[in-house]
Amino acid sequence: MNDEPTVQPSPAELKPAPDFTTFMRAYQDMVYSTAVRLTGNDAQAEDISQEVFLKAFHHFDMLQTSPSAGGWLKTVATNLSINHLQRYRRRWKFFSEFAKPDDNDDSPAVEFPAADSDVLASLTQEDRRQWLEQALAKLPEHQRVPLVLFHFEDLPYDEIARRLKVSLSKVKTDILRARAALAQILVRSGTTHESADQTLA
Amino acid sequence: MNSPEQKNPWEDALDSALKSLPPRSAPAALEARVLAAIAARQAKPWWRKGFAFWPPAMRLVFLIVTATLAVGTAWVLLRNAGSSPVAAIGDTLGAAFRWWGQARSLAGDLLRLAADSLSPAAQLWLLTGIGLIALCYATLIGTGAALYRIFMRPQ
Repeated sequence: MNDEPTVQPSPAELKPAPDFTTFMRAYQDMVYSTAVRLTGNDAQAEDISQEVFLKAFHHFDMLQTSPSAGGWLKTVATNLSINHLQRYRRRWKFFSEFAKPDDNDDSPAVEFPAADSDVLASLTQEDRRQWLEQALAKLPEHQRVPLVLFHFEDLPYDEIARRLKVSLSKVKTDILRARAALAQILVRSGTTHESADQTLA
Repeated sequence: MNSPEQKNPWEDALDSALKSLPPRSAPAALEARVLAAIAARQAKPWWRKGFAFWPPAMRLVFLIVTATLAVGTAWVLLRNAGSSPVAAIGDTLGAAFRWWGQARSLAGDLLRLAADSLSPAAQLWLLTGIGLIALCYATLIGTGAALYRIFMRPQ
């Protein structure tokens, strides 16, 4: 996969930064967030972010005058994270998988929690942020990665399937299961939180 | 099972909740790490960097030298081959891989010597020993893989 997209101007992006340190400060949270949500691992995300900014430094002459630098960095961070996960998966495949994952998923039906999805709206912003980040980190990789690509990167299903080299149906099923798992975790967290509040009261 | 196409009330709620998440703060050490890596990369001499980072003059010199070498080699081959450049290439490759034929011949001689000097019973013991070693090796790999899958499998 080519990690380095071409830089194309887009008026909606941030203004170019005057020097590389300022440039890096402007984008490091975005790059790190992209990597950490995809990999689910802080140390790996830091390594990937470093690699992204080293590539950015190499292309800095072009990036500092480009209004689409943010998009370029996000794409490179996404590609490097996916490459990293695929490399790791290939390396450990022999030891970690008894059978090839089957696209024809006949495992039990996906069950969403009975509680209303309004539970999310009832949480404070800080609680919601904390629980969502924790819930995302708890998801298995094969569910988290397509979910992040779909909801954070706004990639369509077929593009996710192409990038992850899996079938379209597997992507759809994994995203559905990831949403159900996320909802379960959030409802459980919400229930625990409410009971804790009641106990304290 | 549920159809992935089926719209669920959680989908929109999760989508807006996930999209509203603020970016995670990068570790404080990231900036220093990147700047140190850039400094280390810049401190490397040009000949230890990739070709794309070489000074333009050195890249030009390198291209001229390699092109000269390639043309010179082709000229020597053609000159020695008379009218057939393909034959010259065949001769060169044949000379380069002559060791392979010699190695095969040596291995064959050694095996024949072993067969002549060992009795049939000793040969059977030798083959059984080799088979046992291979079996132990396969068992070790298999046990290691099974233990890894049971206890260390990444979640």
